[in-house]
Amino acid sequence: MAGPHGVGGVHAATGHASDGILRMSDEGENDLPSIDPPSPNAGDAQSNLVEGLIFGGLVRIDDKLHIQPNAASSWQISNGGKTYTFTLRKGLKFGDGTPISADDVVWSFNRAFSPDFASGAADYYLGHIVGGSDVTNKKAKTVKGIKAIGSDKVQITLDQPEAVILYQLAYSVADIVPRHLIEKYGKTWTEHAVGIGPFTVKQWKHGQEIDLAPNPYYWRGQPKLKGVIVEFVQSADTAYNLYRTKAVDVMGAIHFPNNRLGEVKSTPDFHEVAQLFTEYLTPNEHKAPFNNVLVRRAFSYAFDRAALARVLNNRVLPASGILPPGMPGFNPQLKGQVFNPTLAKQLLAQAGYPGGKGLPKITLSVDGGDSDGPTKANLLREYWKQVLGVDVSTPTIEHGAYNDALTARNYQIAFIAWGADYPDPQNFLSLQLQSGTGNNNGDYRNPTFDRLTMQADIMPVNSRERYELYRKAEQIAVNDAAWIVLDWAKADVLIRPSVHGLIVNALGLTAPNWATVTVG
Amino acid sequence: MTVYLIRRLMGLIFVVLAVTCLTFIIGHAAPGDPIQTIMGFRHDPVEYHRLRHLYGLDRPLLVQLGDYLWHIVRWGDFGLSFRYDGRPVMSLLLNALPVTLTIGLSALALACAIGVPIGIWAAVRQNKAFDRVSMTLVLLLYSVPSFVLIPILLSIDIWLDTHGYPSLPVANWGTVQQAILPILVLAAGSAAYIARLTRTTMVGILREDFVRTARAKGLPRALVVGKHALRPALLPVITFLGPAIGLLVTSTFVVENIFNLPGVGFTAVTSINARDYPVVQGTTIIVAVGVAVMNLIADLLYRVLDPRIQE
Repeated sequence: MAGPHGVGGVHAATGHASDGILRMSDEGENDLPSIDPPSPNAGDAQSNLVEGLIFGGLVRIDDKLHIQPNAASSWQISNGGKTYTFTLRKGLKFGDGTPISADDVVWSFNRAFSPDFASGAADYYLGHIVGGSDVTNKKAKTVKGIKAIGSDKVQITLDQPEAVILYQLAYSVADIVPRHLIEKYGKTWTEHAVGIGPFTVKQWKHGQEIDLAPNPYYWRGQPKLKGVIVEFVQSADTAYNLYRTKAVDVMGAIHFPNNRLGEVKSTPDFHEVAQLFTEYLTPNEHKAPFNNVLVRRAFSYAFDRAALARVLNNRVLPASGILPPGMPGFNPQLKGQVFNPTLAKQLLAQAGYPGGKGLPKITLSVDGGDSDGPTKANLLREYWKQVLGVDVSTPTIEHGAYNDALTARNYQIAFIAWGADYPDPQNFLSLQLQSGTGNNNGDYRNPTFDRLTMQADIMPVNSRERYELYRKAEQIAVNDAAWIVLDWAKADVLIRPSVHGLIVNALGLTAPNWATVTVG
Repeated sequence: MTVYLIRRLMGLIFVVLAVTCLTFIIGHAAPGDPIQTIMGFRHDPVEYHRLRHLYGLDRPLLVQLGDYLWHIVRWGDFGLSFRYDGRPVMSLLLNALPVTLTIGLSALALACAIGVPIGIWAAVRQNKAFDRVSMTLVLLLYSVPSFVLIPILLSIDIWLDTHGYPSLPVANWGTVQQAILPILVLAAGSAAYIARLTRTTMVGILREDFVRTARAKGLPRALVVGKHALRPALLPVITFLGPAIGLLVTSTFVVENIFNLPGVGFTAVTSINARDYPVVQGTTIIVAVGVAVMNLIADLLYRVLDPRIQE
């Protein structure tokens, strides 16, 4: 069924004579939980896909993963890297023609930090903006470190020269939202959402699809597309069927059915790109035996990651380090985590458990929400048994209960993953592994790691020295087996050849400029 | 009859109330909560407690239950979904309900329309060719689970589509064509069961004395079967209708998922996984009411059809 003319054959009877509307599937959901950018429910991949088409912030990340102007046409950095003064683009408007002033931008930020969105997404990503936490914790009404200067300048002050603040400002939590609509419609404002992005909400058919109309005020140009329809498709397999019958033009941006990879790999529609996404095991350093670094390293050396990738149909790359390839600062010379059974046995013996004798009972927790969980767990169990002589039990735990266990640190070693919020090593190293950070599940604490990363955190983004520091820190964490890495994920997307202007990069499906995307 | 109805309705209210309270308590007692789903890969305890407080989940369980019931009774307010920002639970479910009801009831009607005549004819032609062939086919259809049947049907349909032949849509909801495959799939298992059930019952009835008497009186067979034997033959089928709705509810989950129908099934499963308590509660109430009402209708039909049933 996949031939030289692409997936779907030449004679597909259904489908749409080119009406200039791009149809995409958004797999894994029957509806979007929320597209209100600072909402705790708006952080899932499906919602992000749509939010990115409607909203934008002061800056954006381009298709090459670099920071570019967006609502702001330029900015000045002063005060030793602690103060950023953004100048808003002249004539900037929302998708319904309402002009945007600096006050609107400040209002959006204050709203994002407000206790109504107590998820603290703003606090998490923009935590270094002075006074942000105070608003979230109800100690203040507005953020001290964000203010409007005149009608076209926004000044943001940080408590330390945080290098990645520009990336964090490109994250959806910092999107500019339409005050006039929110005050008019309240909780249901997103049914009529407009932003500074290329499209606006025309109609949200809950449970089915969201229809977007082109934004005539988009600053990068009036979009050539007559519209975009994002269909919510629960099952990736169904999305694939919709693609084959030409009911959609793009699929796989969120989930692709693995068992179909063989059919599409050699077609021109198929795009496969490694993502900034690492799957790993988190060892709980509060419980025996993984509080012992020798044991962690032994287990890390005792299995073959290439075999793991194969058993997953090679839809992932075997990982050797924490930072995925494609991440700025990736270290190709890293002495990574590899398969070395001899060393593994030695380390275990050194730790005081030769041949696995004397080890406490070990449980590897498997997430019931991951359909590949048992496959991966079985492979690990087999290797650990053969190489180390250890019997590990691998119970599958229901997804909700699994998350509970992780937050409560009620596990010995468990499956987990992290996908980049923005393309910078700080997001993987500092945010996940510094002592005491919220996401440091295993409670890894290494003062040298902390020192190196904290130093790098405040250096300017583009300095070579900064990446050097992160590389050193990554090597330390890898040597300590703070994470036992498994694989780096890939995105598999089908894009019909009649669609022009869409690409897949390390952050997923995107377009260098949505205004120039066409279909048919 | 009126007294019976009133008693049954009161019983219905009691059942729904009990189910609601039980689901509430068990749901909250189970590990996992909506906060974790919201936080995704992040497991920050500070954020966790903040969100818990925002959603009122740190209050004592009975306080939460009492507040929930009070809102329903006083304002008919079933709360807002935790997961779908700002959307009232009932509006969410009432949007989904027509979809599930349409395919569920259509499938049931189709199953009866196909199953009953086949069963009757097989009984009348007992042990002859039609009986043997039809019952074998029916057994096959009954044994094949929907998650096997669906891919087979879809493969055929997609083959037709990619080779230019007329075909049915593979998913989504809105047109009549999009409803055909899901209804067929849902009807298949029930039709098979109803056919067998009707045949077996009818075979037994055709042996009864009153049938032999009617035939002996010279009444044509069509009249005997169609008028005298049919009513008692339908009784087990009607009894089956009550639990059939329960079975359909679970089968729709699979069908709605694969054909991407915006029905109650997928909403229910997602809410359970995400611990979206208000939606789980709302779904439970709707399903409990639905099953109870269907059972009541089945019982009433039973009483109408069989005059031997007394209060």
